[in-house]
Amino acid sequence: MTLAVIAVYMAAVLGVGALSHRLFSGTGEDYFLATRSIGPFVLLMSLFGTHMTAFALLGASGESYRSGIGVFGLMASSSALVVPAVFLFVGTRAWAVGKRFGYTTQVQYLRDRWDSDALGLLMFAALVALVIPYLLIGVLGAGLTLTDVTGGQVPTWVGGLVVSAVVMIYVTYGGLRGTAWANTFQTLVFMVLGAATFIYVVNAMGGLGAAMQRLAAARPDLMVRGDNFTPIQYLTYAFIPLSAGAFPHLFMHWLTARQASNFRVTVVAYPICIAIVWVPSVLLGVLGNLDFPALSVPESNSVMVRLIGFHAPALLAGLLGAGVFAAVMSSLDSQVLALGTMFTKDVVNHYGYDERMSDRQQVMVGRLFVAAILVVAYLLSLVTRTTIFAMGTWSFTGFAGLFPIIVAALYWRRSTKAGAFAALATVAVLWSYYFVQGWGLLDYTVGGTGVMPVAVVTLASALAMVVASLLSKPPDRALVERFFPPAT
Amino acid sequence: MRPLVYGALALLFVIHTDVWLWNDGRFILGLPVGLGYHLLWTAAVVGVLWLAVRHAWPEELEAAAERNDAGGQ
Repeated sequence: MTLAVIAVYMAAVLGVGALSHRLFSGTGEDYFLATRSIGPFVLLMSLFGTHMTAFALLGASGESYRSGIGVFGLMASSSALVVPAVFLFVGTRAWAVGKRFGYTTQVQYLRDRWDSDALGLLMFAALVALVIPYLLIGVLGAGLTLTDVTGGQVPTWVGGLVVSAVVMIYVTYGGLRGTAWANTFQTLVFMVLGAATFIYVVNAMGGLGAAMQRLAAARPDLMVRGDNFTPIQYLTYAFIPLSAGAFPHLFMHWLTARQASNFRVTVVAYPICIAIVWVPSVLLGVLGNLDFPALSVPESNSVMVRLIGFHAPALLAGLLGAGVFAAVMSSLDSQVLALGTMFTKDVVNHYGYDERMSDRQQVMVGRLFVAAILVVAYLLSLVTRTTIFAMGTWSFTGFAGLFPIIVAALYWRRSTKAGAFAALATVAVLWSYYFVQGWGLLDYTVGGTGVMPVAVVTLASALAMVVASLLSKPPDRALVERFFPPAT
Repeated sequence: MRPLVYGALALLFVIHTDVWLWNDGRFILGLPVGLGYHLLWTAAVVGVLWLAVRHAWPEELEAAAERNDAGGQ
């Protein structure tokens, strides 16, 4: 039954991808950016679906199982403010500059903005290196989920393979429009199924109020932040959602908007979507302690699946599996498409083949890169073993560190390429240092102070950008006026 | 209106770290108060963002995007 539900779901996703292909015009602009024609609702759903991944559904419930209700404030509510603010202040500006200059990727913009090929190349390397672990979160999450919902009957490698294959088909076939449509469908699926699962399981546990009271009696430490979190950790963790401002896949989705006003719905509705997904994840994770009081760290990532297996019929387990697959694929598709687009635009086109390639050939190259990236990500997932939560946090830390570079490009006329290089070098050095120090430690903070590395990396990156820009020669006036035209 | 909206967003950021409820084990609406607070806080964020898109929207961006003197990619 479980596998049948998941198979039906996969077929439905492929159907949505095929449907979107009917609108495909065959041009590169259509494949890579859906001809900048996406409306407000699809923009909201595709941005939210892209941003939410197995990290929210599995990582958050696992972390809540271990650390309690404070996970919502630590990760979800801070995103509810920071991410829409990033869309409002950064996304809309990026959309405007993208539309005006015809950009498809961040690297195209940053290379032009500071007139530096080398900077573009380094940004390309940094972005690709940081997206890879983020991709792995999805592939690993899919494998773990399929194994869990089938009671261990299906090995872990199968789930990742199925997800990678389905994503490969509809992304190579439908491009960004197919991705946006499939994301919209999948986001609705995982929001509705998540809510339905939550209601069913909580009712089976005797109702939310009664279950929480029982848990409060047994594990009062999970009902408060207490020693599980520190205020400074809360404050500095709020830097993590700044990563949304540097994700290449979100950047591409911003550029698909038909007009700037299409962001309005996204900005207002985003916190509501976050609450709809995260509250059930956190509560189910915490409540898992009632039925499964002694799970190890890796086991706790599947606490939600275990709860459903314990309380609900196989149909619901299948639906939850479909919901997790939806969350996984709605991120994975955009990430691989963004990487495929970057390889096509920032490497193949930029370094010599722009004039020699037709639109059709560019689309073909983009498709080949998407397929190759998925194969590599899947193979890496077979040899990677770590907690989903830890992988996500390190990837987000790197992206948040790049955020000051994006902000300076969009807002600061006096910023220079020396500033951008300095910021990038600072992120590379600090991120590597903290990664080596903290890898494998679930609760790593800077020197044990409670300060999350992301805050240090981001602030140091901003400082490096400001100091190096001010110490270097001001940028050419013509270059500045190109991107900040005088008022007419 | 923009300074007011931006100030409200900054205030929300400051009161996100609710140290005054850190060890409070009471319940509100069937939820631990540490979670209930953050749900109410999220609702407040929605309200302020609604004000932002109504009264502090960067209208000038549509015109900037349509400028034809760009000469980019």
